[in-house]
Amino acid sequence: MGNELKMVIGMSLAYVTSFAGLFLAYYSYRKHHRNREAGK
Amino acid sequence: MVHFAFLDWFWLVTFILLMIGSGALFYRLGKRSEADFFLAGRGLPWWLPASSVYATHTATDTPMWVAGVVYKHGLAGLWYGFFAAWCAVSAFVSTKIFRRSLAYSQAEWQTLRYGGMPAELLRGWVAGWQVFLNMFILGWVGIAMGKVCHFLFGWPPWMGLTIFSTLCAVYVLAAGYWGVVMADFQQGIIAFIAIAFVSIWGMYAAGGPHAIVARLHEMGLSHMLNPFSFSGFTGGDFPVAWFITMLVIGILGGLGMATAIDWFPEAQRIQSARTVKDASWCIWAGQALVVTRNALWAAAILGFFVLYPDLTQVKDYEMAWFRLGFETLPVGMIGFFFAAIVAIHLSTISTHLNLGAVYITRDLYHHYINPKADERRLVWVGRVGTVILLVGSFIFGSIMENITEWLIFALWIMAAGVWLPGILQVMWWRFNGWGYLTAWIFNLVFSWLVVWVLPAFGVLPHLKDYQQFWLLMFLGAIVFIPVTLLTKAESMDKLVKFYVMSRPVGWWGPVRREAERRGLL
Repeated sequence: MGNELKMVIGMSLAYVTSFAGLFLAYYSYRKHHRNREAGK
Repeated sequence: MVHFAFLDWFWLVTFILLMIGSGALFYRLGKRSEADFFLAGRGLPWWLPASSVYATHTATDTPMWVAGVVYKHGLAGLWYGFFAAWCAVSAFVSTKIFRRSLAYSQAEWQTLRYGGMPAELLRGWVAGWQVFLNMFILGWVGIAMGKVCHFLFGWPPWMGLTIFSTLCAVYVLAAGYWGVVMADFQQGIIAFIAIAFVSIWGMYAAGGPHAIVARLHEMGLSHMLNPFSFSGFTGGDFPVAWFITMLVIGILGGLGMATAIDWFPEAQRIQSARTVKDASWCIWAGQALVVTRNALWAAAILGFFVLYPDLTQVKDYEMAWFRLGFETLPVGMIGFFFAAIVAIHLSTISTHLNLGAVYITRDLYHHYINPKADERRLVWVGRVGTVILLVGSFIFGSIMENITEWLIFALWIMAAGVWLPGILQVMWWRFNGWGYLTAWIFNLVFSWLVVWVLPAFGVLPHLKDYQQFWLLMFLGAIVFIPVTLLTKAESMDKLVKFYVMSRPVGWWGPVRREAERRGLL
């Protein structure tokens, strides 16, 4: 595996983990709001 | 290859047992609660987290990095470490603001500063980013240890990477941050003694300070003794424009949060200090030790340069400090020196194992997945997170062949595009969560484009690092400033609550007046 490919794979993980955190936050926020609205 | 005598093995085994034992001893304190596992119960006097700041920022790759810049540029190379100056300012500005907030992590702080969906998205984003970054740092520091072990024992690099990181995980898993900070205190002392001793020993092996200075003059290289020896204002590989950039990054960066990758481990130490004053002193004193350490290394590297002035390959001269120790110390002291290198290594690994686990546990698991989790479960999730980071670091470490290239890219993607927003979020009330989130996402895209993609296709020339910084900052600003101004300001309730609790400095006039009107100040 070439250095460039290793670099791309390694740095792609930065995007993957950051977006995974962001989507988890989004899902949790929507769920929280749905529950709150259902509670009303 | 280095030969170890009985006394060398004795030093090494004794120190490793002591280092792991001193961490593991705090097992009972560490498992009590999430606050103990990640912040040692927020009750530490300033000198304990200060030693941890110093020990954490003294990693196996640090002497390689200092050797690289000083061998190449002389004492002026020390300015590369000047970004640490942000701590001198931060200790009395952003450190106090952050400690007053009581946030466990920088990700949690986002939900105290901002409200609604952008705050939550930011918390998730920063937590995810920190899981990556800690794994990445563990990989690069780990592979540096692999290189040292390859140089010493001829081991393949993965052996040095996995053996010592796994040993470190023993006390991090057992006692969490209690283990980290207590072991760091002891490792910091061992490391400082060894750095001072080996550097002075190495200087005298090169004939002593006077002989080194005289030899540099004879070689016509007097400029190596001048810390202001630049190659022109913008020309050459060491221009004044770069120096000014470092001054700006270092001094103004201290007004904000998350303006340097060092901020994140510092944030954990700030919150573990028992008072705001202790937090300030721990950051200031820890970085003062870092600067002193760099000076000792630099003097020794000049001695190495005099002994071996013709090395042209980075991989040859980046090992300068290690070679001074292993090639000039007497038998019996080699093991002590290697034990100190292990101490340097473990102190950094332990911090990032525990720090990454904070974000996995406190922000991703506790806040988003299971808000009702009890303390016992949270400590266990912290341990599982530690193992995930350890395994991830082995994968990252094994694919990092060129440390410097990765390091520069990581520092740049972290610092350049979010440096200004990191200051604005502390100093300007109108800056909002959408603006900061936009800055983060576009920073990743822009940095990738400016550093790698556009130069590869010939669209943009290969810029110097300081030019990349200003370009990335400008590109980020033309996106996040309009986004901030076109979206709603944070609610006054949220801002007043934040202001009253954290007392930020800067442009907070409307919020301060509202807090006064409500009788909260």
